[in-house]
Amino acid sequence: MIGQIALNSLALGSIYALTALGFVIIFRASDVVNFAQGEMMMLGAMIGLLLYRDLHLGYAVAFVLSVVICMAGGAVVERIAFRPLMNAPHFTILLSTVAIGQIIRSGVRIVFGQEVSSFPGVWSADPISFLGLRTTALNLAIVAVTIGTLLVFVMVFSWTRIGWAMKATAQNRRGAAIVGVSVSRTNAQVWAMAGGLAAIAGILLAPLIIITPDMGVIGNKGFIAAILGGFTSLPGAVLGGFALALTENLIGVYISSAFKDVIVFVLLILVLLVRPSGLLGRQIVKRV
Amino acid sequence: MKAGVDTVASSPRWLAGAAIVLATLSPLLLGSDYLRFVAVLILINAIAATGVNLSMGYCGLVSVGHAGFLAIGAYVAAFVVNHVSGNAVLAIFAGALAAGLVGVVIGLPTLRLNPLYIAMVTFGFGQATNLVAVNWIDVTGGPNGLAVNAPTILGVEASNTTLYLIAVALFLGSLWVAYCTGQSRLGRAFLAIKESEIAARSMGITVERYKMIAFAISSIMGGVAGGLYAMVSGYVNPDAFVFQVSVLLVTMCVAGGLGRLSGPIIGAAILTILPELLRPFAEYKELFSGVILLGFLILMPRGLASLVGGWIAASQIKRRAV
Repeated sequence: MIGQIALNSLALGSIYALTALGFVIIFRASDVVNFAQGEMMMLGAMIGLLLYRDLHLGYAVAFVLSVVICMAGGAVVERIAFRPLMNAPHFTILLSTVAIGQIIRSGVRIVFGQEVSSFPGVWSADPISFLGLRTTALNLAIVAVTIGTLLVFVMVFSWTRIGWAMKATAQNRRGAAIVGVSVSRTNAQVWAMAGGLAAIAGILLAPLIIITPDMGVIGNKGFIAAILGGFTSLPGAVLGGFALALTENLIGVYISSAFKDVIVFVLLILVLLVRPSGLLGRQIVKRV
Repeated sequence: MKAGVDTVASSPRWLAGAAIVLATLSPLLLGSDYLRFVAVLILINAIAATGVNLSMGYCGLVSVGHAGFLAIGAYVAAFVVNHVSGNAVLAIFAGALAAGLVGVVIGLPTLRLNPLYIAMVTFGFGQATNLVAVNWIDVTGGPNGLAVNAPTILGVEASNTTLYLIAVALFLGSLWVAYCTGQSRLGRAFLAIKESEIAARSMGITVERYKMIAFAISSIMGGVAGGLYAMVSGYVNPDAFVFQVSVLLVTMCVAGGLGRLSGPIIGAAILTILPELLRPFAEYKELFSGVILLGFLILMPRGLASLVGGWIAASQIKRRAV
């Protein structure tokens, strides 16, 4: 039973992990929590749906295009909500991302309407059995795409100049600028990358749920996952995503599925109480 | 930057006070029930926004889940009126107390961390509260909401006028609390924390305790606003306390003027009246509030009150120069 629950959690955990990763890379580079991340995820799913179902592009083409559009969107958000306010107090930037999220959500609602649509199945949702466990091709595909994305992500981070610039900026903005890293360009790249991650998460999530302009709420889960992982650690974010999905499913099966999200929130408060630095994070220390 | 110490307050204090009391009482003269209801809504929003302003504008603690405190205040007040005692004041008091307690429970683990955590946790709190309201059907009536019995005052059923007077009293009370906070040691400690936690700590301010006080007052005011809403509207449902409401409250503070006594009130008045005037465009309401928030943050971060304040200050300087 536990094995089955764990297996079921992998697909959901993948989506949480990707969203959480977006939160963490933006936080590390720009020192901001991007409240529009969930909306970027919704936008990714919406655009994917539009391209695949309505414009009849192939799934792969729709997938890639949607990710590219959301990466551009992420860079635009950085330009509008972050850059003009870079030297403003923290909470100003935070609120501006809240505003951007609201604008995206209501914009999508005005353009597409509050219609509830589902993503046409690309991968089969028929159960596959092995070793006494059951899963679906859809779930396996979600996990596979996530692993692929994470590999690409790690490669970009460790082997490319863009990745080095991101790491340098995250460590010390001024230091990075001194050695010739364009901090503003790096910020734009990080926000674009987070937009792309959100889009991937959104399209992968799309067949599992119904798509509405409000589905960005699930971004909140990425958030909680990021906190569980420590909010500063990239592997922590991924681990946090899977841990959160597993916890949720366990609660859903053994306690109450209606109050699952409420119990998760209470657990989050407890985690903050006992171990605010999360699973793998370091305590965020501010030096003068 | 001055916080709490409003420029308006430097004009004779009793004059400003009398003007505020008269202005808040004047809607009683309005013949139309609808206009009076809008006036009450402004008062309710002003109370809630004053609460948000206390934590965010004075102390730098962002709450993007304040609708959760309103929800707790509203549902608890509704429960008290329906099942315990019909007294409106008692019900609102119970709602405020419950909201304050929850605020403390959430604040305790969160406020000692990086200030970003309180934003994240209040966000989750807002969602969680809404989920409870939707799913705990036995108590909250679920998505369909809950009808609230007519509240009483001293055993007599409260008329609309009585409820309006209660709203005015609570509004003036919140304003007074915010004013006193801004003028006192407490307000100066909040401001110091907002400017730099490290500097505040090194001056001997117990940062965690003061943040907790700011957040508790703020959540109590949210509870008061919610309880009042339940009494006035006679009906509570989860849709009245969604995330957008939290964002709207923040927008009121930012548009009016963060950290100023008059800011949230100006913001509440404008952002309550505007959607009523623009009802045919209700579809665009949310978009509109997002654009206003972003626009003010980038173009006029000190809000509308800074215009008025700036004008008064300028005229005073001119007078002195003459």
